Amino acid sequence: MRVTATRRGTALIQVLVLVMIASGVLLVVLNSTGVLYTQTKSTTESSIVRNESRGGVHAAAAFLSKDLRKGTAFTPIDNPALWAGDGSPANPYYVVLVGRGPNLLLDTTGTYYTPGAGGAVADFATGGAGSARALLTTPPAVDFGLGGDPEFAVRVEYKVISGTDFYYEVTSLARASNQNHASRGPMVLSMQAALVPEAPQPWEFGMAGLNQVQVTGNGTLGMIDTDGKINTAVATNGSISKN
Amino acid sequence: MGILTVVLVGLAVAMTNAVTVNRLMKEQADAVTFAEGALSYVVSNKDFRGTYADVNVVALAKSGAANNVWQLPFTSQRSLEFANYTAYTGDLTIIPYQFDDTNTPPTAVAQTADWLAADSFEVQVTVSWFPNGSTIAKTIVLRTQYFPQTP
Repeated sequence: MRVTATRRGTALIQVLVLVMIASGVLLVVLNSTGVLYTQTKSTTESSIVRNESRGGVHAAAAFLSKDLRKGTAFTPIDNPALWAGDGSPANPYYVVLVGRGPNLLLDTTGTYYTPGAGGAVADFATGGAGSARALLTTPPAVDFGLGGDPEFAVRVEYKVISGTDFYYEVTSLARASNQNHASRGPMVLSMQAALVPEAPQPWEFGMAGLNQVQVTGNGTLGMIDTDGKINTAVATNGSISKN
Repeated sequence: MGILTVVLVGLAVAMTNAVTVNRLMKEQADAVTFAEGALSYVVSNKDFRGTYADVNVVALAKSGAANNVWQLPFTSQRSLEFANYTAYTGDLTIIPYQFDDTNTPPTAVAQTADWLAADSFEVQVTVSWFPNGSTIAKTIVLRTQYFPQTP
């Protein structure tokens, strides 16, 4: 009888040990599966939002190039009422564009910035209450004219290099759209770029409608057919001036 | 023995589910990679508008001259194939948009049929696949805006 009881006790302990080991394995498996699930969703989400954010930079470039191509750059000098800031290093001129899908417009609601004023602007660098990230994550009940809440917001700073040379410093923030894969609220990602006006074809950037364009040095003026239309082209190894 | 049986059965079920989830997650990660690759390929193409120009618009097909950006017109909607991964299918959609020309700055943007006049393009890549044993397709959609930097 004593031998049998001892054997039963030993078997019970072995069963308990086995159950504990099996439970431990079970917990590890469940935990690692949960981590893998979260990681994959986050990878998908970050890919979606990163491309949205990148698209914000490109959409802003297209928006800003529209006027450059007409020879009337969108600047604080030409459109002071639409820009905020005072042009100082600490408070540069800036505007904020809001976008949804292919739509991109100036924020005229005063939500992300106040046109014509030097002060209030949503912080694009960090989070917190009132920041651009917070506004994208929890959109206010404001009609931005986009047909829905903004999916991305772009801060455009006007930076003078010297004289009339300038460039735009662009910060694009995007949030996940309706394909939200994130486990913990929509992800918001940022992308920055400097947009420098350049003139591969001088007529496209700033020379349309001028009185005179002077080519200094050896150059040619002619008609070329590059896009199915007859276009005027100027080429020189010297310099081109305008008035 | 009863408890042991329950625990072992639970372990087996959990392991099976873990393997299934693992496979599904790998499939989804592969789909994202495919979509990223296709999107990057399209937007890094210098001849973007020419290569993907809509054949239904102006007759843009021209000679293969070196300075000719506008050539090889294709449709704006194309099917994607991924070599050696036939379980995945994809679609590429490119839609040209144009900002209004009358205001400074622009106050509206609308779809246009003229690819040459377009200011920006919406590029969308959709990758679909059927998870093992499922008849319901899963889909990953990546989209971005593209501003062609070659005039």
